[in-house]
Amino acid sequence: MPSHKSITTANLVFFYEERWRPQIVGFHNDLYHFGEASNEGIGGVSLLESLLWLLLGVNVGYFPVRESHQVLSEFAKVLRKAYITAEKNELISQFPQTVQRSIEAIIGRTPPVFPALPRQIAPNADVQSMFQSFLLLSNSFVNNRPANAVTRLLVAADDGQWKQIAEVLESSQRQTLGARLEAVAGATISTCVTGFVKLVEYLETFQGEWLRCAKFQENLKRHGFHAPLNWIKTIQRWRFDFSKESVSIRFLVLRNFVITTLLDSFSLVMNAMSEQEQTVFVKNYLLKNMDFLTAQWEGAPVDAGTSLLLSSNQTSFFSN
Amino acid sequence: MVPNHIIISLKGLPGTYALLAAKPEIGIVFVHGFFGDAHDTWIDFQRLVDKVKKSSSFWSKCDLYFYRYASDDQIVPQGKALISFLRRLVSSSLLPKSGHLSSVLPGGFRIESDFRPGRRKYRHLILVGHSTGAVIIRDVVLQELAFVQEKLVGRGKPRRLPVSRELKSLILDASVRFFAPAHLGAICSGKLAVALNAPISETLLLMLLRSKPLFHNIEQSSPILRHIESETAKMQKRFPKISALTAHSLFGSKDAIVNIGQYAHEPRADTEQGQSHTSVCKPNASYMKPLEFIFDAEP
Repeated sequence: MPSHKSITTANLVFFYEERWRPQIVGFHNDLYHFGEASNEGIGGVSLLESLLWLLLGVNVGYFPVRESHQVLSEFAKVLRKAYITAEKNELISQFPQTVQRSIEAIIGRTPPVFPALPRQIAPNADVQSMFQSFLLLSNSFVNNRPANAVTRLLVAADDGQWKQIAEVLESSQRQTLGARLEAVAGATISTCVTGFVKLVEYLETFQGEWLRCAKFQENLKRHGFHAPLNWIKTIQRWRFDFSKESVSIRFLVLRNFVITTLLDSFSLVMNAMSEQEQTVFVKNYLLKNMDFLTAQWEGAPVDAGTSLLLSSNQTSFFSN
Repeated sequence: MVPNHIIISLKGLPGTYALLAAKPEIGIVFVHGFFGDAHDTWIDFQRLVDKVKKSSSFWSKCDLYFYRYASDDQIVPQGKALISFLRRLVSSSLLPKSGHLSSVLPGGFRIESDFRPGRRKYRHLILVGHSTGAVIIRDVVLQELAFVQEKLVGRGKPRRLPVSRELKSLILDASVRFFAPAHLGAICSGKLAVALNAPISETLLLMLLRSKPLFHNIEQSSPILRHIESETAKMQKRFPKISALTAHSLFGSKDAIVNIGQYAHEPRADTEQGQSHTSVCKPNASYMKPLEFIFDAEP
């Protein structure tokens, strides 16, 4: 059986290869290649989220302390830069105050040091494997290109960038069914559709894991893991902050576009359903479930006239 | 309790990872389906294999590989990529042969675990596929069979047909386990209303699938699906002892994506009440069947 030390160090090697390094590369690309402030900001906040995973992993005994500090020291400059760009683009405020303070406490010192979480957590294999499940899930989401593009669009695109995308979606919506199905294969539309579906899938899988863990709340409390469990959600909230008007509107426009596009591509089957059945399907199933998923995060999006982009017979799906 | 497995990423294969045991005897390869990935399709396998008491002696001698591919492509190119992965796996060239598991930071500091992946010789393989991942595994088995036969009798000059015992290959001797395989095609004419009880991402997936080239590969009438079925049946008749030609399948009773069933020569597919297309392969404390289904594959 491998020793605890060899496991925690292997965990860090894996985290470094799968999460940390791609995030560092991504941030540098945003910083030096594209030169758009909004991209810089999201690259920065995304890297800071990875830092928070590292902090939590150290606190639950999943990562080794000495080697994790070494990672911090090596990347101290980049982390400070990430903080500055995220702050400049008003993305640092997406983290709750307690999380902001933790980030500042880490990168504010030279060399940077991990603070202890408010409550000491006893290292426990169950807790560590639970942490690993959530981390793997998150890695897969942040490394998924279309999902990443949709997150950027929702959270960080400026009005000009959003307008361009919205125009592409709108012009696709005006096309015939055949042309629209072809458009699904096009780069922008395809990214929007697959990225959005991936996002919904992530919210659903995360929620399933979350509820499963919540069932063991008493056990988690015993091991002091209920606070970190909340943290896992808190540190990702900046991606799903539907209380922000722009995020909410964009999410709903994308949602409506994706649903109508996929319904069109499924038109043969949909034609076998009556209009009433279709409405029930969209309203009572698709929209209701999506509303439930988004409501689990900060401020669910509220539909206030985003049924633009829809043909007249489809508008009824999205009206109240 | 210390976990029995060490997590490791595989160089040059982004998104694919492995859980390595200290003294492995069996290699298990997990292949996800359309739009899935190596992490979320098999979520909780990585957690539960070190937790289950009943079959802990089995899991502690297994290396688990979670293979990732971009599921936009068609079956044949996917099969080619997977067979290349499997050949590297059986020839022990996937992992560094010597040295510790490590990463070097830009400043030169080495994060180093004293775990040595080393050469890993397996006595048995288990191939596990979900949805279209199962069809890719079927294609891989046929490719391997053609390759081994060719090696034995020479390309283009068959002196005689080989017999089963001469066809030596870890891949052909593998046990095959499928969760919700798409080998009988996707449901094309069912009403979407069937999906009303399914997870929402599953329904979106079903709708998205229709807009991708891969869908045409797994339509019931697809030539590639029919070819794989007829070739598998033909080869199984000729080489009944090749275990990889006979899969065991498990479906969720609420599957709204693929047709439930098995090939004619195979054991009747099992159905799990209340499970859907995507949940059927996700074990949890009250649903341990996915782990048992694989545990039963040890010869």
